[in-house]
Amino acid sequence: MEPKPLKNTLPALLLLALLTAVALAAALYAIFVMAPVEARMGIVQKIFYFHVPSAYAMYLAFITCAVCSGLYLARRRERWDAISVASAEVGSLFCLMVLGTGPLWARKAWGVYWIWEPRLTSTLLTGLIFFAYLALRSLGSAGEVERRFAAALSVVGTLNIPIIHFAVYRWRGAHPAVITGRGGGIAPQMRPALLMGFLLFSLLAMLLIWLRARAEETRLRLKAVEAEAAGRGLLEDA
Amino acid sequence: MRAINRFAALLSRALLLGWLVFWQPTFSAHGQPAGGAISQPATQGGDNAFRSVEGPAREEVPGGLMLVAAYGLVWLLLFLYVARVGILQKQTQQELDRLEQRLRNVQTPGRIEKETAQPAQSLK
Repeated sequence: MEPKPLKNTLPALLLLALLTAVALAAALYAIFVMAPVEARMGIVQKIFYFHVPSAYAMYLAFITCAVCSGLYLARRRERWDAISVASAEVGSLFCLMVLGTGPLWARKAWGVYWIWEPRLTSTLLTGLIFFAYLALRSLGSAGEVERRFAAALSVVGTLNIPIIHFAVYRWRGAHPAVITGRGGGIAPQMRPALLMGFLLFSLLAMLLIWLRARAEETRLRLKAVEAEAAGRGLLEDA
Repeated sequence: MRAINRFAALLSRALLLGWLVFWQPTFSAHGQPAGGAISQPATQGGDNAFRSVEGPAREEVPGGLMLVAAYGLVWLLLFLYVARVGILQKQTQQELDRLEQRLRNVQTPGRIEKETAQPAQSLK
């Protein structure tokens, strides 16, 4: 198949990067200047403004991965596969952030780094499923069969996301349910910082997925060019 | 007479045993010095008594340190990932440019051969 040239999306990417930088500055100001210190937990509560938005970004990335995996299974276009891989990596990154910042906060709030309660356990399980996806895709000889299997695995892993989200309401473990449909359990002065955190991590997720998908498309184009070069006998000279 | 002596010996042994099991620990508990780490209540001793411990009431965990560690972890993960993607993009792009250039170099002699072949065909 003749390799298609990549579109020049650099200006839009730079604009998104600029917006993310502005959101970062605004979020840091809102967290450390505007938001008051929590009465019971003290300054360690400010981890909340990164911990919750990173979980939200993890949801976004994993859902994007599942949707693009489904589109790839249906249409077999490589662009959907590239976005799927990128989303899985970015989602795993945010999952590491959630599983890293949460225990540091829990050590102060609960006295222990980890307990096997529903939300924490289901988040860890989802992270492990997507790490398995990435391990499968990173195999050097990963072909069409591996891609399809990984795509199905991502859909299965995404089914855990409602379990993660609703576990705290359904099973009432130790993890608090601060943000609820009835207005939330945070002070009004803290809401701008949380909203800025959500905006920042949404932009960050889009930017990182875009960057990674771009690199993946370049890699796919390189594979196509290598195949053409091999057909012309050029690769033996390298 | 022997029976009485035996009974007396048995009774004295029973009393001694009873004193060792039941009464002697009580006397030794009350006999501890006042400057010990664990303070004893004035009532009966034993394992079912509540004992106070001197020192801080609860463990102090530095909240500021946890906050710095959490934010530092987020920044570190972000920078490592962006660096990885940047290196991957750069290496892949360099390899792609190199191969595309080689392909163009191979295609260019092919065009020259076609142009020179046309006059020969027209003569025929």
